[in-house]
Amino acid sequence: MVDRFADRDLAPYLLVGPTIVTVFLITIGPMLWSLWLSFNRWAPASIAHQTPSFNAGANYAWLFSQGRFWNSVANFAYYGGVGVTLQVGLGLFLALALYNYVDNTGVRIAMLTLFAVPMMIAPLVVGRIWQLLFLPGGGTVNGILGMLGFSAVPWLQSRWLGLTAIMIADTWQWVGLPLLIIYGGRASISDTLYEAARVDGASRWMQFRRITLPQLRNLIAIAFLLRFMDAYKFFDKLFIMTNGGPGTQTELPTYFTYLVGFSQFNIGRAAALTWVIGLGSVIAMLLFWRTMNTEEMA
Amino acid sequence: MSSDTSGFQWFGRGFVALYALFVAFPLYWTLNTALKPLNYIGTFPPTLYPRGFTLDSIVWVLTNSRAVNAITNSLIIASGTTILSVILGALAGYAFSRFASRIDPGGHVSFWLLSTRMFPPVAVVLPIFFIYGQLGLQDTLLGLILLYLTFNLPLTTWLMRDFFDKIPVSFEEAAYVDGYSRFETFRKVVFPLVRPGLVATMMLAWVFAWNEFLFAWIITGNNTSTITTIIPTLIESNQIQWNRIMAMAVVVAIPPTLILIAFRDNIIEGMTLGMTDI
Repeated sequence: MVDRFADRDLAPYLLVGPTIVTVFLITIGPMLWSLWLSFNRWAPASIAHQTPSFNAGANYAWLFSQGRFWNSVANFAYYGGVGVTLQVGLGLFLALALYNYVDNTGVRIAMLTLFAVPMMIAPLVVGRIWQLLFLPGGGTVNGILGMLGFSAVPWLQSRWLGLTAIMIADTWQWVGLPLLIIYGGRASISDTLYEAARVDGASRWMQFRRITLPQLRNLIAIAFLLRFMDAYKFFDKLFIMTNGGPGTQTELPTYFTYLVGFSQFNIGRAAALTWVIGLGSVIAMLLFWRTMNTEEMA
Repeated sequence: MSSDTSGFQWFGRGFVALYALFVAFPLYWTLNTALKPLNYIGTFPPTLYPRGFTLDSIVWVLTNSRAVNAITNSLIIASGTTILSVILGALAGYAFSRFASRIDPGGHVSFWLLSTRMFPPVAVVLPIFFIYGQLGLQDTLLGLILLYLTFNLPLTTWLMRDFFDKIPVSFEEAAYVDGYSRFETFRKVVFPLVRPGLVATMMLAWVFAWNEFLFAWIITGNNTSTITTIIPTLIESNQIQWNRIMAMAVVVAIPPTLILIAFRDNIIEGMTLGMTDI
């Protein structure tokens, strides 16, 4: 752009400065300190380890030897892999069905608003609501299953059912995000593309395969990425719905970290965990973008 | 748009309707539970309407001192953090939008800012907990107001940059030609155009702060409990008070829902990081 002010003008730096400094002070700085802590033994609750003392990579060695840690990683693979795919897939289907098959504008807007409502409610509250619905014995979901002639399912009482129940609650809350992103994308694809395809006699499936999907590809990827980032940070619903239980079976990595840090008060180990999880998320993102880009070139 | 009335169309419509029912049901059930007396909640099969209708639980939430304190605290914290993050984020967003070539060539700085949201919150709160202990910020409203900037400041900066990007620079240049000062240009030309985006950004920042749980759970104690931190503890005499919990859920879900309905277009644009205009 044409900048009418001199290059030595300080205004841009003054505008950005406060934000950069604040983010550094409350995010980057503390996290660098926690990187240093991750190479220390520090457990303020025990008398022997009141102050941090350097122990090289012992915290990292400890966590990679923990079955509980690998258990939480496996849970994340299930919850994150299946859950996010389900949310994006459902969002895609609903967005296209809404755009293509619901003609009344009022109905469309009402639906989009309804699907956005759960996103505005606190995740912790959503967890509480679904905990009530999944309650063993008198729970509403089992009540409805009973009315339909199915037997009661012991939701929240075992590892995979617990994770599945949490996944259902999370899908209920967040399907709106991929839905809205994809709906916006679909609305901006020009109708002439489809008209040309119909003139050429392309089937509905071919139109989807050759027009809709390629046009929406990047938005689907972004929706996937946004939901994956949230899955990585996931905490509230797990905390309220199963508390990581039964035992430690439904723990996810962030929840395990929380317990090591704030229940066992083993700060060095918790710091090591946060860095392993953080680097894991960065690597996952990079891999994801690389796969995206190579596919695009191919 | 498509005019064929094949099975596809009816399948699509049916699926949307069914899913809408699935979305609406838990919302209805929350209300249904909040309006029942406790003894009708555990009944099997469940009663599909608020049997023994009573407003007792709602009245309890609005009069119980713990609940009222928590609501007040959450109002102060969410509003405080919103004001701070929107002021700072709007300034930074304006600079990123207008002076990108100078302060952020290649977009690395703004991407770095957004990427701080990728790290799990527990990674941030672990060191902060001890730093706050040293600074005396644990269990204070100010502590949470500042801590919530960790997720709201990158968000407001990113969104405001996007909203500023949509205002053509030529408008400002025309104002300068007309002899407006920099501040006048901002106040009379840019601000009125960016106002809807600014309001949506404020509302989203407010909702995220209002809904936050983990930071509040770790940093606050008895003095500053928030709406989310009292929900796990609303258990009295070995019995979970589902009607009161759901009444609390109804009360705390009302402000964000009203915000969504009132500012629908801009909120949806903001939630999807500027990708969707409906």
